[in-house]
Amino acid sequence: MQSILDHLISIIVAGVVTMALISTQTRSQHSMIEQTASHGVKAKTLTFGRWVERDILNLGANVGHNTYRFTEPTLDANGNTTNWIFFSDSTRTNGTRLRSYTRYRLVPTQMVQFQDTTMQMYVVNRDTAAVNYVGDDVAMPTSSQWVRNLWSIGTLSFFRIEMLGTMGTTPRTPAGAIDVDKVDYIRVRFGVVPEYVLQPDNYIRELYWVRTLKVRPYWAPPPSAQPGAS
Amino acid sequence: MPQTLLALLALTLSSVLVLNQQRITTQGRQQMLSDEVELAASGLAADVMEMIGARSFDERSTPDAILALQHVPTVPANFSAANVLGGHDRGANGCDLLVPLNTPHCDDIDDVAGLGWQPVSVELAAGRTLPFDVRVSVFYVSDPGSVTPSLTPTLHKRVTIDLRSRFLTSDASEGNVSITRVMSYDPVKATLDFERVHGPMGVKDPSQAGGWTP
Repeated sequence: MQSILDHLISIIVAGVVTMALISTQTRSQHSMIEQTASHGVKAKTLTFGRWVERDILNLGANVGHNTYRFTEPTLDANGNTTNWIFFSDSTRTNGTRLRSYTRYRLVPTQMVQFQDTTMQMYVVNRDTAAVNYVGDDVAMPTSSQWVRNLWSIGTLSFFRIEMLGTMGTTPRTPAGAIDVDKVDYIRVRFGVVPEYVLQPDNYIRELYWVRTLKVRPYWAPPPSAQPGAS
Repeated sequence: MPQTLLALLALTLSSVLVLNQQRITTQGRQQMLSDEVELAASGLAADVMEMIGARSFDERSTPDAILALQHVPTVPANFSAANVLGGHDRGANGCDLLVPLNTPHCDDIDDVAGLGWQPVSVELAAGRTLPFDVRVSVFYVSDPGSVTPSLTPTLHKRVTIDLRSRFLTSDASEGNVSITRVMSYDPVKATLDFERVHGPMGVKDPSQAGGWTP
């Protein structure tokens, strides 16, 4: 007891210094892990964005000018695109024409509790299918024809595909459906959450990616320049 | 006495170490957040650029102007003078940079010039938003590779978009993120824009002077 009282100040100082160093070390480690996770998720975001961009820029190959090459996306209550199909045409070595379909399916994975909110995470499943033409007609793929094709990431916080006209709004038919023939741009937006933030003691952070891509080739001759136009 | 001095020294050293470490950690975190905001900013800038490019090249090549002129402009002399680019014909409501439909008078590329900093937000999950300010400048250039403004109308307009965010640490007076692109006049696009609004060209239309659309 006497010894403790003799060195009381030293013990207090040592305790304070030790606590400060431990706190600094913990915070430094936390920050380092967060930065590494952030770097990783940024790379994932850019990579996934590039995959989606490549898909959209390639859609419609061999389909023909001024002809739509995608279907109307299906949305959920939050505005997320849950199902979207687009296609391009090709020819097999034996001369048979085929249509290559690609489908994005947004699948909810888990609810995640952050410090300030609860969020649904998603994964985009990318499926492909090849369907032969019968004459000049081609059917939509049956459920058994779709093949899982990966190219996705699993911590999306939202995923939206918007069909836009030149006025920045979605062109619609009188019945209210999206008029895919009049779509000039496809805007893709998604958010990605770093895995490390999936701990409940972290604030939510979200990487945002957007790209608006022109899909209607206006170098195609306008209708008035078509043969026989009056 | 020596113990007290040693204790003071230990406290001083640990304080310096802790504060320094805290500064480095804060800097790293700020840089990380800046990177994330810059990623969103660059996407938004490209988005705004596409919607500017969706507009007509010039006030004299809008669908209504073509209808009035009765022909699609083909030479630079048809276009607005270089010293009147900007706000003289964009209307009182300014320009919606992402949804042109909301500001129908802001219908050609140079209408967005000189608006000053405009608030534009990106929408994240769960209804959260990330706010930015966007500024646009537009001027004629003599060819697609040129960065020097042309004093006379040409077939090319250079569009520069600056974005700034209060979450970015770099000097925001000139914007934190800037992108530029030359928009070149395309008579085929002007024709398609016309046909989207007024129908096929060269069609008999009694409501028009001469009885025909261009």
